[in-house]
Amino acid sequence: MVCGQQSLSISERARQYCAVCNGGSVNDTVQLFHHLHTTSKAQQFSPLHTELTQALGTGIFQPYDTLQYYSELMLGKTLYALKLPRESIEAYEKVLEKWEGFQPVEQPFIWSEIASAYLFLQDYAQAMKYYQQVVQSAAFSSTPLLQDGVYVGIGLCFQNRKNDEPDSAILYYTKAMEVQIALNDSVDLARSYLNLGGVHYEQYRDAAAMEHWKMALQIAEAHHITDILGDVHYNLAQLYEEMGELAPALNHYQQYINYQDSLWNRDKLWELAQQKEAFEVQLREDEILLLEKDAALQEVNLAQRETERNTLIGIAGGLVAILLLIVLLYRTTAKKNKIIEAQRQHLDQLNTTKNQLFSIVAHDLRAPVQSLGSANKLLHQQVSALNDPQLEALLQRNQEGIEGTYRLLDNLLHWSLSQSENLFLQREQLALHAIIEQVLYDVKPLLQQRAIRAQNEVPNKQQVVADSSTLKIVLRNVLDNAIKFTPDGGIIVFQLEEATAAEVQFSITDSGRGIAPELVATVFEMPAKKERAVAVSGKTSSGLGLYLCKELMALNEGAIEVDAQQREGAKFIMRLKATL
Amino acid sequence: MTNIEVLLVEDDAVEATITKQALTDLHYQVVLATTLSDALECYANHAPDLVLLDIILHGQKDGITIAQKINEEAHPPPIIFLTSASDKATFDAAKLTRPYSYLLKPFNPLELAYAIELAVEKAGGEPGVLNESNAVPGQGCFFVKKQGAMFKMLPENIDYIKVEERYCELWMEQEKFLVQSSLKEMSERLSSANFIRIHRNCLVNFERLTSISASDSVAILQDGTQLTISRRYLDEIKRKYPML
Repeated sequence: MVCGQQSLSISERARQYCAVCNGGSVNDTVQLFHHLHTTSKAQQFSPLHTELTQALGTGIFQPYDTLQYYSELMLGKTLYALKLPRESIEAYEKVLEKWEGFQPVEQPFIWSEIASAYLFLQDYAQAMKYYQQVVQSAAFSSTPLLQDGVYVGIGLCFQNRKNDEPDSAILYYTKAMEVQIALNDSVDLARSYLNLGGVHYEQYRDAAAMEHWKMALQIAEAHHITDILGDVHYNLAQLYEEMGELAPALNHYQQYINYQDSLWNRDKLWELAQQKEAFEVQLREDEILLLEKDAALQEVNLAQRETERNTLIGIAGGLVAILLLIVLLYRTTAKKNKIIEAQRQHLDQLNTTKNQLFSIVAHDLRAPVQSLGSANKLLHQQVSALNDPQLEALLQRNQEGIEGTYRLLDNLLHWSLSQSENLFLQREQLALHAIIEQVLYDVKPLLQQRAIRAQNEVPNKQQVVADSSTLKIVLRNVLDNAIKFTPDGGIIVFQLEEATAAEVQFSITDSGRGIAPELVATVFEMPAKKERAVAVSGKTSSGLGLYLCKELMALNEGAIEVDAQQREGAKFIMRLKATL
Repeated sequence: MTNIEVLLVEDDAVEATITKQALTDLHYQVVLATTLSDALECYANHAPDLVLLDIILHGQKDGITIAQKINEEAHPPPIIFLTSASDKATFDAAKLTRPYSYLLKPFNPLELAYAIELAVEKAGGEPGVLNESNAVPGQGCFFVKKQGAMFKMLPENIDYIKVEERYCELWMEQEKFLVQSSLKEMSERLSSANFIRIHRNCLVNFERLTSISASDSVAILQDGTQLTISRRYLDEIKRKYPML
């Protein structure tokens, strides 16, 4: 037995929102929507499915746009039309969930569609559930179009359900017929008669069945509804055959075969179309599978990306931690450095103050001592005319005292100046012989007194590079040292040791007792550190002299050292640059 | 030979006395000034061959000002600073005037003599050049050393000059002093006196000439020295000095 069922049209409502159909502003999106809903209306579902999938997949419409909504609905309908009821239900349910509360008037239509799909799947319980929802909706009583489909559907449910309720089926088919008559829907009406006849036939009410099928035949013949005519003739042929009236049965079989023939071609085409559709469905399913795989792949990608991101976050966190540690360490170090720096500055200040103090004392004392010396020298000159040896000796002693004091002050001043890097050096080519002569000049009286011979054996021509003032201080100090430790009648010799184009080495040797081997290493050290030697006169030296010599020679880019090989007397070797 | 004239600028009377004495002992002719204005006036009047400057005059660094003024001249004489300060600040200020030498007080006569010699050498040649046989060119004169003292030789004091390679022999009273100079440079230095060329390598002080023997091509000087005249210069000498 064959039954008929009619689906509801959402495309009519979709049309209301189409800007192209309603003369609104048109753009690409709107144009696409128009194309979709007209394709739906034309029932070209295969191409529509492709286009819908594409449109919804690429997100052409705004996610919550009305056009998106209708497109999603159209997809549900299309899937149903392509005989994919499960996919259709899924699509519709998605729409219901996503668009909850949107266009509530249309909800019953969607339920009705879902019910139809369940009906297709012969899941009558589910179909019934949705149909009940539609019936209970507010719009139902005022929407004949809805009533038509729903009544037919419910009727089909009752007719086909296991717990057969033929009367309920009849009741709903009748209700549907009332709507169909009102809607002037002859196709559906004919189908309803067909269906009703079927119900009666199943209840063995052959007369009623005959009556309904004849009505269906009449309407179908009147409107050339070939689909139904075949079914009706077939049903009638069967019924007549069962009733034993073989003539009309044969007649109807004949008619049925005629229609079947006429349908044959169509069916052939239909079959081909079916095959094609099946193929397309397969393709689509493959597509869906592919998409699913794509989605899965993307998910994997996402997961991978998330892992990567997490790893990066981890690394970043680690780096931040290291940075914090570094900052912490830096701060600690900086704090320490600050303290050290403060201490250093304090020490620097103390040292500078000390140097300044020495400098001031030495400088300020030096001038009056010098004046005293100059005055004494003049006095000596004046007195020499008087021929008073006692007075002259006294003045000579004065002179020596003044000069000794002056040299100590001079050493102190130069030492403090060299320490504070305030010493002025004018390095130039000097005649070494002449410089030694100048230094010897000042000690002549002393040498005479001690009967010490001083020999300057450095050649006249020999030049050295030095600052004359500081070189003279060095020479005076080593000379004083030599005189101090040389016994009366001894000898002091200045000698050129070695002269190359770059460097000049010269020495001062005395005939004193020499330097004790254990003292050699310390003679140039700071006075406080070393043991002071006792001079011939019994006086100890200040010890500053040789220390200052070392400093001043270094400032002159030269050096001074003790010749440890020397067996007799002490020998100091000095080195200076030969050219600038 | 002439004594070298020295301008000594020193405000301390005792120091001045001692230094002046030392300079005089070294055969220098000394002009003493004690103030800045005094010093500049003396400089203008005497045109000294050397200037010895105490940096601190009456508490001011006037010595440096004087040095700057003198250095403004076209051919300033060598300047030597005398100072008791050895600190950098003082020297740095003095250094800007490019002095030839510094002498730290107190100094002995040898140091004074050496500082002056060194200044002269640096001004006219190179350190170590000056000795008993060498002369150093100065401004309009030559400095020579004799018996440990330094004198100046004016061009008119020179009898004749002979050129030997890179050196010029300056002959004076039968003594020669070497100067490292070309004959051309020498001619320029001698422009104040009347020198004539008698040979490719010989210049003669015209004032010293007594006669010329044209036949022997010999010039005879006042002290009897005979110098060869080259044929090339003979005609010129005859033309210029026909009375000879």
